[in-house]
Amino acid sequence: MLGSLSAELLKIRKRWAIRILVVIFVLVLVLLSYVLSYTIYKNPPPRFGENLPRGTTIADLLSALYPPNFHRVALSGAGGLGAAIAIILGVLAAGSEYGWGTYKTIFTQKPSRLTVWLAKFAALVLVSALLAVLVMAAAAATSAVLASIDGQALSWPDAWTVVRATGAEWLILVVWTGFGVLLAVISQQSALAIGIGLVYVLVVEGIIFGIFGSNPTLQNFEKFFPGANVTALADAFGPPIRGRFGGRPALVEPTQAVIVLVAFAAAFLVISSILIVRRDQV
Amino acid sequence: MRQGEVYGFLGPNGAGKTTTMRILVGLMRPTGGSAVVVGTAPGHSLAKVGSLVEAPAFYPYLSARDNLKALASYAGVPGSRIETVLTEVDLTDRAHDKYSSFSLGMKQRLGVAAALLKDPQLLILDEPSNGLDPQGIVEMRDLVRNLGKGERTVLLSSHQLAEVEQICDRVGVILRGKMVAEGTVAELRGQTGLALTAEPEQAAGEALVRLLGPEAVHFDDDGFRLDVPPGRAAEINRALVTAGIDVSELRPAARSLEDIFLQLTGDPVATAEVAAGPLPPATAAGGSAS
Repeated sequence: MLGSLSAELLKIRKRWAIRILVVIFVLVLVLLSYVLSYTIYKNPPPRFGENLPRGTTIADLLSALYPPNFHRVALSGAGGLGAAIAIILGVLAAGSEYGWGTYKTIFTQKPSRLTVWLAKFAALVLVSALLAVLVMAAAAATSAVLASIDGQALSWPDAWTVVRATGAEWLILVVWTGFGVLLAVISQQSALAIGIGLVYVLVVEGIIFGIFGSNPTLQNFEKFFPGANVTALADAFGPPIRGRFGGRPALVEPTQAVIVLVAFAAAFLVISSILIVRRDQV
Repeated sequence: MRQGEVYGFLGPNGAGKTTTMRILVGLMRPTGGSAVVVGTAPGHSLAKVGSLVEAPAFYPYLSARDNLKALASYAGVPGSRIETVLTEVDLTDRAHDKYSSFSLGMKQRLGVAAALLKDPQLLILDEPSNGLDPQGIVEMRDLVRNLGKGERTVLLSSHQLAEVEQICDRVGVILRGKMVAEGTVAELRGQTGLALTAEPEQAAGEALVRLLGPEAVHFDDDGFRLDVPPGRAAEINRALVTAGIDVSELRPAARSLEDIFLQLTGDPVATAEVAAGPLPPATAAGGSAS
Protein backbone atom coordinates (compact mmCIF):
# COMPACT_ATOMS: atom_id res chain seq x y z
CA MET A 1 0.00 0.00 0.00
CA LEU A 2 2.80 2.45 0.89
CA GLY A 3 4.60 1.66 -2.36
CA SER A 4 1.44 2.32 -4.36
CA LEU A 5 0.83 5.53 -2.41
CA SER A 6 4.38 6.64 -3.13
CA ALA A 7 3.84 5.95 -6.85
CA GLU A 8 0.56 7.88 -6.90
CA LEU A 9 2.13 10.85 -5.12
CA LEU A 10 5.02 10.84 -7.60
CA LYS A 11 2.56 10.93 -10.50
CA ILE A 12 0.60 13.80 -8.96
CA ARG A 13 3.67 15.75 -7.86
CA LYS A 14 5.26 15.73 -11.30
CA ARG A 15 2.14 16.64 -13.22
CA TRP A 16 2.02 20.25 -14.39
CA ALA A 17 -1.73 20.21 -14.91
CA ILE A 18 -2.24 19.59 -11.21
CA ARG A 19 0.31 22.20 -10.18
CA ILE A 20 -1.46 24.75 -12.39
CA LEU A 21 -4.82 23.75 -10.91
CA VAL A 22 -3.54 24.44 -7.40
CA VAL A 23 -2.12 27.80 -8.41
CA ILE A 24 -5.40 28.76 -10.14
CA PHE A 25 -7.38 27.88 -7.01
CA VAL A 26 -5.21 30.03 -4.78
CA LEU A 27 -4.94 32.91 -7.26
CA VAL A 28 -8.67 33.06 -7.96
CA LEU A 29 -9.43 33.01 -4.25
CA VAL A 30 -7.02 35.86 -3.61
CA LEU A 31 -8.05 37.89 -6.65
CA LEU A 32 -11.83 37.46 -6.45
CA SER A 33 -12.44 37.12 -2.74
CA TYR A 34 -9.90 39.67 -1.62
CA VAL A 35 -8.41 41.96 -4.27
CA LEU A 36 -11.59 42.54 -6.29
CA SER A 37 -13.82 42.79 -3.20
CA TYR A 38 -11.41 45.15 -1.47
CA THR A 39 -11.20 47.38 -4.53
CA ILE A 40 -14.99 47.57 -4.80
CA TYR A 41 -15.52 48.22 -1.09
CA LYS A 42 -12.88 50.92 -1.06
CA ASN A 43 -14.28 52.56 -4.19
CA PRO A 44 -17.94 51.56 -4.18
CA PRO A 45 -20.00 52.41 -7.25
CA PRO A 46 -22.85 54.88 -6.78
CA ARG A 47 -25.79 53.56 -4.66
CA PHE A 48 -23.79 50.41 -3.83
CA GLY A 49 -24.59 50.75 -0.15
CA GLU A 50 -28.31 51.01 -0.84
CA ASN A 51 -28.38 47.54 -2.40
CA LEU A 52 -26.93 45.83 0.64
CA PRO A 53 -29.15 43.78 2.94
CA ARG A 54 -30.67 45.70 5.81
CA GLY A 55 -28.21 46.20 8.64
CA THR A 56 -25.15 45.54 6.56
CA THR A 57 -22.73 48.36 5.84
CA ILE A 58 -19.74 48.62 3.56
CA ALA A 59 -17.58 48.72 6.69
CA ASP A 60 -19.00 45.31 7.67
CA LEU A 61 -18.03 43.91 4.29
CA LEU A 62 -14.59 45.40 4.54
CA SER A 63 -14.03 44.00 8.02
CA ALA A 64 -14.85 40.52 6.69
CA LEU A 65 -11.65 40.76 4.66
CA TYR A 66 -9.44 41.24 7.70
CA PRO A 67 -7.59 38.44 9.54
CA PRO A 68 -10.29 37.53 12.10
CA ASN A 69 -12.45 36.25 9.22
CA PHE A 70 -9.86 34.79 6.85
CA HIS A 71 -11.00 31.22 7.50
CA ARG A 72 -14.59 32.14 6.61
CA VAL A 73 -13.50 33.79 3.36
CA ALA A 74 -11.46 30.71 2.48
CA LEU A 75 -14.40 28.43 3.24
CA SER A 76 -16.76 30.59 1.20
CA GLY A 77 -14.89 29.51 -1.93
CA ALA A 78 -15.14 25.82 -1.18
CA GLY A 79 -18.66 25.43 -2.57
CA GLY A 80 -18.33 26.94 -6.03
CA LEU A 81 -14.74 27.48 -7.13
CA GLY A 82 -13.44 24.82 -4.76
CA ALA A 83 -15.96 22.30 -6.05
CA ALA A 84 -14.98 22.94 -9.67
CA ILE A 85 -11.25 22.75 -8.94
CA ALA A 86 -11.61 19.61 -6.81
CA ILE A 87 -13.79 17.85 -9.40
CA ILE A 88 -11.20 18.60 -12.10
CA LEU A 89 -8.46 17.34 -9.76
CA GLY A 90 -10.30 14.04 -9.24
CA VAL A 91 -11.01 13.65 -12.93
CA LEU A 92 -7.41 14.40 -13.90
CA ALA A 93 -6.09 11.84 -11.44
CA ALA A 94 -8.50 9.05 -12.37
CA GLY A 95 -9.70 9.84 -15.88
CA SER A 96 -6.42 10.52 -17.65
CA GLU A 97 -5.30 6.97 -16.96
CA TYR A 98 -8.07 5.75 -19.27
CA GLY A 99 -6.84 7.98 -22.07
CA TRP A 100 -3.23 6.88 -21.63
CA GLY A 101 -4.18 3.23 -21.13
CA THR A 102 -2.02 3.17 -18.01
CA TYR A 103 -4.46 1.26 -15.81
CA LYS A 104 -3.39 -1.93 -17.57
CA THR A 105 0.22 -1.07 -16.75
CA ILE A 106 -0.31 -0.41 -13.05
CA PHE A 107 -2.85 -3.21 -12.56
CA THR A 108 -0.33 -5.77 -13.79
CA GLN A 109 2.25 -4.86 -11.16
CA LYS A 110 2.32 -6.67 -7.84
CA PRO A 111 -0.50 -5.17 -5.73
CA SER A 112 -4.19 -5.90 -6.19
CA ARG A 113 -6.42 -3.45 -8.02
CA LEU A 114 -8.11 -2.51 -4.76
CA THR A 115 -4.77 -1.69 -3.14
CA VAL A 116 -3.78 0.50 -6.08
CA TRP A 117 -7.16 2.19 -6.04
CA LEU A 118 -7.11 2.87 -2.31
CA ALA A 119 -3.62 4.32 -2.73
CA LYS A 120 -4.87 6.64 -5.47
CA PHE A 121 -7.72 7.81 -3.27
CA ALA A 122 -5.39 8.25 -0.29
CA ALA A 123 -3.03 10.33 -2.42
CA LEU A 124 -5.89 12.58 -3.48
CA VAL A 125 -6.98 12.94 0.15
CA LEU A 126 -3.45 14.09 0.98
CA VAL A 127 -3.40 16.52 -1.96
CA SER A 128 -6.76 17.88 -0.80
CA ALA A 129 -5.27 18.45 2.64
CA LEU A 130 -2.38 20.34 1.10
CA LEU A 131 -4.81 22.35 -0.99
CA ALA A 132 -6.87 23.22 2.12
CA VAL A 133 -3.78 24.38 3.99
CA LEU A 134 -2.59 26.42 0.99
CA VAL A 135 -5.96 28.12 0.62
CA MET A 136 -6.08 28.95 4.33
CA ALA A 137 -2.50 30.24 4.25
CA ALA A 138 -3.17 32.38 1.16
CA ALA A 139 -6.32 33.80 2.73
CA ALA A 140 -4.49 34.54 5.98
CA ALA A 141 -1.58 36.23 4.20
CA THR A 142 -3.82 38.33 1.96
CA SER A 143 -6.06 39.38 4.83
CA ALA A 144 -2.96 40.41 6.80
CA VAL A 145 -1.74 42.53 3.90
CA LEU A 146 -5.11 44.26 3.56
CA ALA A 147 -5.30 44.88 7.31
CA SER A 148 -1.82 46.37 7.23
CA ILE A 149 -2.74 48.65 4.31
CA ASP A 150 -5.75 49.91 6.28
CA GLY A 151 -3.78 50.21 9.50
CA GLN A 152 -5.89 47.60 11.26
CA ALA A 153 -4.56 45.55 14.16
CA LEU A 154 -3.59 41.97 13.25
CA SER A 155 -5.92 39.87 15.37
CA TRP A 156 -6.41 36.25 14.40
CA PRO A 157 -9.02 33.62 15.12
CA ASP A 158 -7.90 31.13 17.76
CA ALA A 159 -5.80 28.19 16.60
CA TRP A 160 -8.51 25.59 17.20
CA THR A 161 -10.93 27.49 15.00
CA VAL A 162 -8.33 27.65 12.24
CA VAL A 163 -7.66 23.92 12.58
CA ARG A 164 -11.38 23.10 12.43
CA ALA A 165 -11.91 25.42 9.47
CA THR A 166 -8.99 23.82 7.63
CA GLY A 167 -10.45 20.41 8.40
CA ALA A 168 -13.83 21.53 7.06
CA GLU A 169 -12.20 22.86 3.88
CA TRP A 170 -10.35 19.55 3.56
CA LEU A 171 -13.53 17.49 3.94
CA ILE A 172 -15.35 19.60 1.36
CA LEU A 173 -12.48 19.27 -1.13
CA VAL A 174 -12.29 15.50 -0.53
CA VAL A 175 -16.01 15.12 -1.29
CA TRP A 176 -15.80 17.04 -4.55
CA THR A 177 -12.55 15.31 -5.55
CA GLY A 178 -14.21 11.95 -4.89
CA PHE A 179 -17.14 13.05 -7.03
CA GLY A 180 -14.72 13.82 -9.87
CA VAL A 181 -13.03 10.45 -9.44
CA LEU A 182 -16.35 8.62 -9.58
CA LEU A 183 -17.46 10.51 -12.69
CA ALA A 184 -14.16 9.64 -14.38
CA VAL A 185 -14.50 5.96 -13.51
CA ILE A 186 -18.10 5.79 -14.68
CA SER A 187 -17.43 7.57 -17.97
CA GLN A 188 -13.94 6.04 -18.36
CA GLN A 189 -12.62 9.33 -19.69
CA SER A 190 -11.80 12.88 -18.63
CA ALA A 191 -13.70 15.25 -20.93
CA LEU A 192 -17.18 13.90 -20.27
CA ALA A 193 -16.49 13.59 -16.55
CA ILE A 194 -15.38 17.22 -16.25
CA GLY A 195 -18.37 18.34 -18.29
CA ILE A 196 -20.87 16.44 -16.15
CA GLY A 197 -19.18 17.55 -12.93
CA LEU A 198 -19.19 21.23 -13.81
CA VAL A 199 -22.75 21.10 -15.13
CA TYR A 200 -23.82 19.49 -11.85
CA VAL A 201 -22.13 22.17 -9.74
CA LEU A 202 -23.35 25.06 -11.88
CA VAL A 203 -26.82 23.87 -12.85
CA VAL A 204 -28.04 21.58 -10.07
CA GLU A 205 -26.32 23.14 -7.08
CA GLY A 206 -26.01 26.66 -8.44
CA ILE A 207 -29.12 27.36 -10.50
CA ILE A 208 -31.82 24.86 -9.45
CA PHE A 209 -31.17 24.96 -5.71
CA GLY A 210 -30.00 28.56 -5.87
CA ILE A 211 -33.10 29.93 -7.58
CA PHE A 212 -35.75 27.54 -6.31
CA GLY A 213 -34.07 26.91 -2.95
CA SER A 214 -36.80 28.71 -1.02
CA ASN A 215 -39.33 26.01 -1.95
CA PRO A 216 -39.85 23.85 1.19
CA THR A 217 -40.34 20.63 -0.79
CA LEU A 218 -37.15 21.21 -2.74
CA GLN A 219 -35.32 22.05 0.48
CA ASN A 220 -36.17 18.59 1.85
CA PHE A 221 -34.31 17.10 -1.09
CA GLU A 222 -31.54 19.64 -1.02
CA LYS A 223 -30.62 18.70 2.55
CA PHE A 224 -29.16 15.47 1.21
CA PHE A 225 -27.13 17.00 -1.58
CA PRO A 226 -23.48 17.97 -1.14
CA GLY A 227 -23.99 21.68 -1.79
CA ALA A 228 -26.40 22.30 1.09
CA ASN A 229 -24.13 20.43 3.50
CA VAL A 230 -21.04 22.27 2.29
CA THR A 231 -22.84 25.57 2.91
CA ALA A 232 -23.93 24.40 6.36
CA LEU A 233 -20.40 23.39 7.26
CA ALA A 234 -18.99 26.74 6.08
CA ASP A 235 -21.64 28.66 8.00
CA ALA A 236 -20.73 26.77 11.17
CA PHE A 237 -17.81 29.20 11.53
CA GLY A 238 -20.03 32.24 11.72
CA PRO A 239 -23.30 33.53 10.33
CA PRO A 240 -23.16 34.42 6.67
CA ILE A 241 -22.34 38.04 6.09
CA ARG A 242 -25.20 39.13 3.86
CA GLY A 243 -24.09 40.44 0.51
CA ARG A 244 -20.70 38.91 1.06
CA PHE A 245 -21.30 35.19 1.43
CA GLY A 246 -24.54 34.87 -0.49
CA GLY A 247 -26.84 34.93 2.46
CA ARG A 248 -28.84 31.68 2.17
CA PRO A 249 -29.37 30.26 5.63
CA ALA A 250 -27.99 26.78 6.33
CA LEU A 251 -30.54 24.00 5.87
CA VAL A 252 -28.90 21.51 8.21
CA GLU A 253 -26.91 21.45 11.42
CA PRO A 254 -23.09 21.34 11.13
CA THR A 255 -22.92 17.86 12.67
CA GLN A 256 -25.34 16.48 10.12
CA ALA A 257 -23.37 18.27 7.40
CA VAL A 258 -20.18 16.50 8.46
CA ILE A 259 -21.95 13.12 8.58
CA VAL A 260 -23.54 13.59 5.16
CA LEU A 261 -20.30 14.78 3.58
CA VAL A 262 -18.30 11.89 5.05
CA ALA A 263 -21.01 9.53 3.77
CA PHE A 264 -20.72 11.04 0.30
CA ALA A 265 -16.92 10.67 0.31
CA ALA A 266 -17.22 7.05 1.46
CA ALA A 267 -19.89 6.30 -1.14
CA PHE A 268 -17.77 7.76 -3.94
CA LEU A 269 -14.83 5.62 -2.79
CA VAL A 270 -16.85 2.41 -2.47
CA ILE A 271 -18.70 2.73 -5.78
CA SER A 272 -15.58 3.64 -7.74
CA SER A 273 -13.66 0.78 -6.07
CA ILE A 274 -16.33 -1.75 -7.06
CA LEU A 275 -16.29 -0.54 -10.65
CA ILE A 276 -12.50 -0.57 -10.83
CA VAL A 277 -12.15 -4.05 -9.32
CA ARG A 278 -14.95 -5.71 -11.27
CA ARG A 279 -14.52 -4.20 -14.71
CA ASP A 280 -12.31 -5.72 -17.38
CA GLN A 281 -9.43 -3.42 -18.28
CA VAL A 282 -9.13 -3.32 -22.04
CA MET B 1 4.15 -23.80 -21.60
CA ARG B 2 7.27 -25.40 -20.22
CA GLN B 3 9.53 -23.58 -17.83
CA GLY B 4 12.48 -21.89 -19.54
CA GLU B 5 11.14 -22.03 -23.08
CA VAL B 6 10.35 -19.23 -25.49
CA TYR B 7 6.86 -19.93 -26.74
CA GLY B 8 5.58 -18.30 -29.90
CA PHE B 9 1.91 -17.42 -29.94
CA LEU B 10 0.60 -16.99 -33.46
CA GLY B 11 -2.74 -16.22 -34.99
CA PRO B 12 -4.39 -13.83 -37.42
CA ASN B 13 -5.86 -10.52 -36.27
CA GLY B 14 -8.88 -11.13 -34.08
CA ALA B 15 -7.93 -14.72 -33.29
CA GLY B 16 -7.76 -14.03 -29.55
CA LYS B 17 -4.04 -13.64 -28.84
CA THR B 18 -4.27 -10.34 -26.97
CA THR B 19 -7.45 -11.40 -25.22
CA THR B 20 -5.71 -14.56 -24.01
CA MET B 21 -2.78 -12.48 -22.77
CA ARG B 22 -5.10 -10.05 -20.99
CA ILE B 23 -6.73 -13.00 -19.25
CA LEU B 24 -3.36 -14.43 -18.25
CA VAL B 25 -2.32 -11.17 -16.53
CA GLY B 26 -5.71 -10.66 -14.87
CA LEU B 27 -6.87 -7.68 -16.89
CA MET B 28 -9.90 -9.61 -18.15
CA ARG B 29 -11.98 -12.44 -16.78
CA PRO B 30 -12.56 -15.40 -19.08
CA THR B 31 -16.15 -16.12 -20.07
CA GLY B 32 -15.33 -19.81 -19.77
CA GLY B 33 -12.49 -22.21 -19.09
CA SER B 34 -9.59 -21.70 -16.77
CA ALA B 35 -5.90 -20.92 -16.80
CA VAL B 36 -2.98 -21.47 -14.46
CA VAL B 37 -0.20 -18.89 -14.45
CA VAL B 38 2.94 -19.66 -12.45
CA GLY B 39 0.94 -22.10 -10.37
CA THR B 40 -1.98 -19.81 -9.53
CA ALA B 41 -5.07 -18.30 -11.07
CA PRO B 42 -4.47 -15.40 -13.47
CA GLY B 43 -3.75 -12.14 -11.68
CA HIS B 44 -2.65 -13.85 -8.46
CA SER B 45 1.05 -14.17 -9.24
CA LEU B 46 1.70 -10.77 -10.72
CA ALA B 47 4.95 -10.44 -8.76
CA LYS B 48 6.37 -13.26 -10.89
CA VAL B 49 4.92 -12.13 -14.21
CA GLY B 50 6.17 -9.29 -16.39
CA SER B 51 4.03 -8.25 -19.30
CA LEU B 52 3.74 -5.95 -22.25
CA VAL B 53 0.20 -6.43 -23.51
CA GLU B 54 -0.75 -4.64 -26.71
CA ALA B 55 0.86 -1.19 -27.00
CA PRO B 56 3.08 0.10 -24.20
CA ALA B 57 1.24 2.54 -21.93
CA PHE B 58 3.07 5.04 -19.74
CA TYR B 59 2.65 8.54 -18.32
CA PRO B 60 3.58 10.99 -21.10
CA TYR B 61 4.65 13.77 -18.74
CA LEU B 62 7.08 11.57 -16.83
CA SER B 63 10.58 10.63 -17.96
CA ALA B 64 11.42 7.02 -18.72
CA ARG B 65 13.19 6.76 -15.37
CA ASP B 66 10.28 8.29 -13.44
CA ASN B 67 7.83 5.97 -15.18
CA LEU B 68 9.91 3.01 -14.09
CA LYS B 69 10.31 4.54 -10.64
CA ALA B 70 6.52 4.69 -10.26
CA LEU B 71 6.12 1.10 -11.45
CA ALA B 72 8.94 -0.06 -9.15
CA SER B 73 7.11 1.56 -6.24
CA TYR B 74 3.89 -0.26 -7.11
CA ALA B 75 5.71 -3.56 -7.45
CA GLY B 76 7.91 -3.11 -4.39
CA VAL B 77 11.01 -3.52 -6.49
CA PRO B 78 14.30 -1.91 -5.33
CA GLY B 79 15.28 1.21 -7.25
CA SER B 80 18.54 -0.40 -8.38
CA ARG B 81 16.54 -2.55 -10.82
CA ILE B 82 15.62 0.56 -12.78
CA GLU B 83 19.18 1.16 -13.99
CA THR B 84 19.59 -2.54 -14.71
CA VAL B 85 16.58 -2.76 -16.99
CA LEU B 86 17.32 0.59 -18.64
CA THR B 87 20.74 -0.79 -19.53
CA GLU B 88 19.22 -4.06 -20.70
CA VAL B 89 17.00 -2.28 -23.25
CA ASP B 90 19.64 0.33 -24.09
CA LEU B 91 17.67 3.35 -22.89
CA THR B 92 20.06 4.70 -20.26
CA ASP B 93 21.03 7.70 -22.39
CA ARG B 94 17.40 8.74 -22.85
CA ALA B 95 16.20 7.91 -19.35
CA HIS B 96 15.71 11.59 -18.46
CA ASP B 97 13.60 12.33 -21.53
CA LYS B 98 9.85 12.48 -21.30
CA TYR B 99 7.98 9.44 -22.54
CA SER B 100 5.94 11.67 -24.87
CA SER B 101 9.11 12.48 -26.81
CA PHE B 102 9.98 8.84 -27.44
CA SER B 103 9.85 7.17 -30.84
CA LEU B 104 7.71 4.06 -31.20
CA GLY B 105 10.77 1.85 -30.95
CA MET B 106 11.88 3.51 -27.71
CA LYS B 107 8.36 3.18 -26.30
CA GLN B 108 8.41 -0.53 -27.07
CA ARG B 109 11.80 -0.90 -25.41
CA LEU B 110 10.57 0.95 -22.34
CA GLY B 111 7.61 -1.42 -22.32
CA VAL B 112 9.99 -4.36 -22.26
CA ALA B 113 12.04 -2.66 -19.53
CA ALA B 114 8.90 -2.26 -17.42
CA ALA B 115 8.05 -5.91 -17.96
CA LEU B 116 11.54 -6.85 -16.77
CA LEU B 117 11.49 -4.70 -13.62
CA LYS B 118 10.33 -7.56 -11.41
CA ASP B 119 12.89 -9.94 -12.92
CA PRO B 120 9.89 -12.15 -13.68
CA GLN B 121 9.75 -15.91 -14.05
CA LEU B 122 7.26 -15.50 -16.87
CA LEU B 123 7.55 -12.75 -19.45
CA ILE B 124 4.51 -12.07 -21.63
CA LEU B 125 5.24 -9.96 -24.69
CA ASP B 126 2.46 -9.06 -27.08
CA GLU B 127 3.89 -8.16 -30.47
CA PRO B 128 6.89 -6.24 -29.12
CA SER B 129 8.12 -5.57 -32.68
CA ASN B 130 4.87 -3.95 -33.74
CA GLY B 131 5.49 -0.75 -35.66
CA LEU B 132 9.27 -0.99 -35.53
CA ASP B 133 11.50 -0.32 -38.52
CA PRO B 134 13.69 -3.18 -39.82
CA GLN B 135 16.61 -2.15 -37.61
CA GLY B 136 14.31 -1.98 -34.61
CA ILE B 137 12.88 -5.40 -35.40
CA VAL B 138 16.37 -6.91 -35.48
CA GLU B 139 17.26 -5.24 -32.18
CA MET B 140 14.03 -6.38 -30.54
CA ARG B 141 14.59 -9.92 -31.83
CA ASP B 142 18.06 -9.99 -30.30
CA LEU B 143 16.69 -8.57 -27.06
CA VAL B 144 13.92 -11.16 -26.77
CA ARG B 145 16.33 -13.93 -27.70
CA ASN B 146 18.61 -12.87 -24.83
CA LEU B 147 15.69 -12.58 -22.43
CA GLY B 148 14.70 -16.13 -23.20
CA LYS B 149 18.05 -17.56 -22.17
CA GLY B 150 18.21 -19.30 -18.81
CA GLU B 151 15.25 -20.24 -16.65
CA ARG B 152 12.91 -17.45 -17.66
CA THR B 153 9.85 -18.47 -19.64
CA VAL B 154 8.75 -16.16 -22.43
CA LEU B 155 5.36 -16.06 -24.13
CA LEU B 156 5.80 -14.11 -27.35
CA SER B 157 2.99 -13.09 -29.61
CA SER B 158 4.16 -11.78 -32.94
CA HIS B 159 3.26 -11.19 -36.53
CA GLN B 160 6.93 -11.39 -37.44
CA LEU B 161 7.05 -15.04 -38.39
CA ALA B 162 10.76 -14.90 -39.12
CA GLU B 163 11.23 -13.63 -35.59
CA VAL B 164 9.19 -16.46 -34.13
CA GLU B 165 10.98 -18.99 -36.31
CA GLN B 166 14.37 -17.82 -35.08
CA ILE B 167 13.59 -17.27 -31.42
CA CYS B 168 10.91 -19.67 -30.28
CA ASP B 169 11.39 -23.18 -28.97
CA ARG B 170 7.77 -24.04 -29.55
CA VAL B 171 4.87 -22.41 -31.31
CA GLY B 172 1.12 -22.41 -30.80
CA VAL B 173 -1.33 -21.24 -33.42
CA ILE B 174 -4.69 -19.85 -32.31
CA LEU B 175 -7.69 -19.36 -34.55
CA ARG B 176 -11.05 -17.96 -33.45
CA GLY B 177 -10.16 -18.59 -29.81
CA LYS B 178 -9.06 -22.21 -30.30
CA MET B 179 -5.56 -23.58 -30.44
CA VAL B 180 -5.33 -25.31 -33.82
CA ALA B 181 -1.69 -26.42 -33.77
CA GLU B 182 1.18 -26.61 -31.36
CA GLY B 183 4.72 -27.91 -31.54
CA THR B 184 8.28 -27.02 -32.42
CA VAL B 185 8.84 -25.17 -35.66
CA ALA B 186 10.34 -28.37 -37.12
CA GLU B 187 7.27 -30.34 -36.09
CA LEU B 188 4.99 -27.76 -37.62
CA ARG B 189 6.92 -27.90 -40.85
CA GLY B 190 6.46 -31.65 -40.94
CA GLN B 191 8.33 -33.93 -43.39
CA THR B 192 10.36 -31.94 -45.88
CA GLY B 193 10.99 -32.80 -49.51
CA LEU B 194 13.47 -31.66 -52.12
CA ALA B 195 13.52 -28.69 -54.49
CA LEU B 196 15.19 -29.30 -57.83
CA THR B 197 16.09 -27.18 -60.87
CA ALA B 198 17.37 -29.05 -63.89
CA GLU B 199 17.63 -28.69 -67.70
CA PRO B 200 16.11 -29.76 -69.98
CA GLU B 201 12.97 -29.81 -67.90
CA GLN B 202 11.05 -32.26 -70.09
CA ALA B 203 13.77 -34.92 -69.86
CA ALA B 204 14.31 -34.24 -66.19
CA GLY B 205 10.59 -34.71 -65.49
CA GLU B 206 10.50 -38.02 -67.31
CA ALA B 207 13.58 -39.28 -65.51
CA LEU B 208 12.22 -38.25 -62.12
CA VAL B 209 8.84 -39.93 -62.72
CA ARG B 210 10.63 -43.12 -63.70
CA LEU B 211 12.79 -42.97 -60.60
CA LEU B 212 10.33 -41.74 -57.94
CA GLY B 213 6.87 -42.35 -59.33
CA PRO B 214 4.42 -39.68 -60.63
CA GLU B 215 2.86 -38.96 -57.21
CA ALA B 216 6.19 -37.76 -55.80
CA VAL B 217 7.03 -35.31 -58.58
CA HIS B 218 5.46 -31.83 -58.80
CA PHE B 219 6.39 -29.02 -61.13
CA ASP B 220 5.66 -25.30 -60.85
CA ASP B 221 7.24 -21.95 -61.66
CA ASP B 222 9.99 -22.54 -59.12
CA GLY B 223 11.01 -25.86 -60.61
CA PHE B 224 10.48 -29.41 -59.37
CA ARG B 225 9.28 -30.26 -55.87
CA LEU B 226 9.93 -33.86 -54.88
CA ASP B 227 8.01 -35.50 -52.04
CA VAL B 228 10.86 -37.73 -50.93
CA PRO B 229 13.13 -37.80 -47.91
CA PRO B 230 16.01 -35.30 -48.27
CA GLY B 231 18.41 -38.21 -47.78
CA ARG B 232 17.72 -39.37 -51.33
CA ALA B 233 19.28 -36.23 -52.84
CA ALA B 234 22.56 -37.89 -53.86
CA GLU B 235 20.77 -40.80 -55.55
CA ILE B 236 18.53 -38.44 -57.54
CA ASN B 237 21.44 -36.22 -58.54
CA ARG B 238 23.44 -39.24 -59.74
CA ALA B 239 20.51 -40.59 -61.78
CA LEU B 240 19.88 -37.27 -63.51
CA VAL B 241 23.52 -36.60 -64.31
CA THR B 242 23.87 -40.16 -65.70
CA ALA B 243 20.86 -39.44 -67.92
CA GLY B 244 22.66 -36.37 -69.33
CA ILE B 245 20.57 -33.82 -67.44
CA ASP B 246 22.17 -30.70 -65.94
CA VAL B 247 21.25 -30.25 -62.28
CA SER B 248 21.68 -26.59 -61.23
CA GLU B 249 19.98 -26.75 -57.81
CA LEU B 250 19.03 -29.53 -55.43
CA ARG B 251 18.17 -28.68 -51.84
CA PRO B 252 15.81 -29.57 -48.97
CA ALA B 253 12.47 -27.85 -49.51
CA ALA B 254 11.18 -27.01 -46.07
CA ARG B 255 7.88 -25.18 -45.75
CA SER B 256 8.32 -21.76 -44.20
CA LEU B 257 6.45 -20.91 -41.03
CA GLU B 258 4.60 -18.38 -43.13
CA ASP B 259 3.33 -21.14 -45.43
CA ILE B 260 2.22 -23.17 -42.45
CA PHE B 261 0.59 -20.16 -40.79
CA LEU B 262 -1.33 -19.24 -43.91
CA GLN B 263 -2.39 -22.84 -44.40
CA LEU B 264 -3.54 -23.15 -40.80
CA THR B 265 -5.35 -19.86 -40.61
CA GLY B 266 -6.71 -19.63 -44.12
CA ASP B 267 -8.07 -23.07 -44.90
CA PRO B 268 -10.21 -24.88 -42.33
CA VAL B 269 -9.76 -28.25 -44.06
CA ALA B 270 -6.01 -27.92 -44.17
CA THR B 271 -6.08 -26.73 -40.59
CA ALA B 272 -7.80 -29.90 -39.50
CA GLU B 273 -5.38 -32.03 -41.51
CA VAL B 274 -2.30 -30.34 -40.14
CA ALA B 275 -3.60 -30.36 -36.60
CA ALA B 276 -4.36 -34.07 -36.79
CA GLY B 277 -1.28 -34.95 -38.84
CA PRO B 278 2.35 -34.68 -37.87
CA LEU B 279 1.67 -32.50 -34.87
CA PRO B 280 0.90 -33.41 -31.31
CA PRO B 281 -2.81 -32.98 -30.49
CA ALA B 282 -3.83 -29.34 -30.30
CA THR B 283 -4.01 -27.91 -26.81
CA ALA B 284 -7.18 -26.13 -25.77
CA ALA B 285 -6.94 -22.38 -25.45
CA GLY B 286 -6.83 -21.35 -21.86
CA GLY B 287 -4.46 -24.14 -20.95
CA SER B 288 -1.83 -23.73 -18.32
CA ALA B 289 1.23 -21.54 -18.60
CA SER B 290 4.24 -22.14 -16.45
